[in-house]
Amino acid sequence: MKSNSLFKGSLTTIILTLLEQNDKMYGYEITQKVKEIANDLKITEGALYPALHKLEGDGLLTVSIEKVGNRNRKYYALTENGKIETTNKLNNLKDFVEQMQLILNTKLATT
Amino acid sequence: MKKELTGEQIAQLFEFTRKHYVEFYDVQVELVDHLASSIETDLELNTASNFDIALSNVFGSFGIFGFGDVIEQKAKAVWRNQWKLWFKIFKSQFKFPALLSGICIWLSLFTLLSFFNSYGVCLLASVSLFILSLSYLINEHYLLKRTMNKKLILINQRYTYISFSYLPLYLMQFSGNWIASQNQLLIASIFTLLGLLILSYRSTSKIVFNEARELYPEAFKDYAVS
Repeated sequence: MKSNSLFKGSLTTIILTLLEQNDKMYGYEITQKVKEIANDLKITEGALYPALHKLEGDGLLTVSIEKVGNRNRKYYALTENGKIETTNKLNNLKDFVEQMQLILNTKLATT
Repeated sequence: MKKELTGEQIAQLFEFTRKHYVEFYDVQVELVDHLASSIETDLELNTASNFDIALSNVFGSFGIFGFGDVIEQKAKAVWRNQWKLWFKIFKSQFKFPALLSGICIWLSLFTLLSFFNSYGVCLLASVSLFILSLSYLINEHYLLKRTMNKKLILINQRYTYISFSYLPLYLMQFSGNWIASQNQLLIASIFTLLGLLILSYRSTSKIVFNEARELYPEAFKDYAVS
């Protein structure tokens, strides 16, 4: 069974990574992609938009508005700081996973 | 094929966000696009669905607090961004050529303190700075009233800085030893820093308004004319 709290803790990393892979994305597009990646987890838009706005407030994302059909669309893109932070977060995550594997393997070997 | 919502349905979505306590146009724009995109996908994939059902489904996905969390976090993000911008502009005042204005203020204060009673100079400086910051805020308020026809969270957060205008008077109220000490260097430096902070506030406001105008021209009265 997947743990919601583990995935929610990595929500900002997921968003940053998505934006690193795509030049710019809009809110709905991001929410759908996140749901696709973290499928069958109950992550609501009520959690995703605040996370996006927090990243914007931290200066990691920049916004632009474009007219699409008969409505305006807000796009998010990584700032220079955002790009650095994405690399840092991914490295931290990799280190964490490696450490956890090491701990679990050691524990299993001793039992 | 995905069918785009009509202008009337988009207007309905704006009304829906207003009914759910989203009063800021910049937040409404993002939410309306989200609701519309979701409804369009729902109608494409599920032919039995209709606009109202699809709207109800997507609103449900925002959780029990509806749009509440979105607005709260957006307000915090705007507040943080604007504080950072203010601090960045304040720091830039310590680089040439902007540093010259700081040096001029400091020298003027230091000269005044050399000739007059420090308490009197401090009172004069405090009241002047208070009037200056208040005039910026009043000017800003009337500018918004004159030019805007929609509320933006980007702009509304500026009102949280009103309390800052009292800072020069707080300084006097809690003057205590630092004024009585007659330390001209310290007094001139404190009021210079405060003066630069207030000047930076004005520059921050200009940047914030220009950004708001660029992102959301429909929120300004002259949009239809231009």
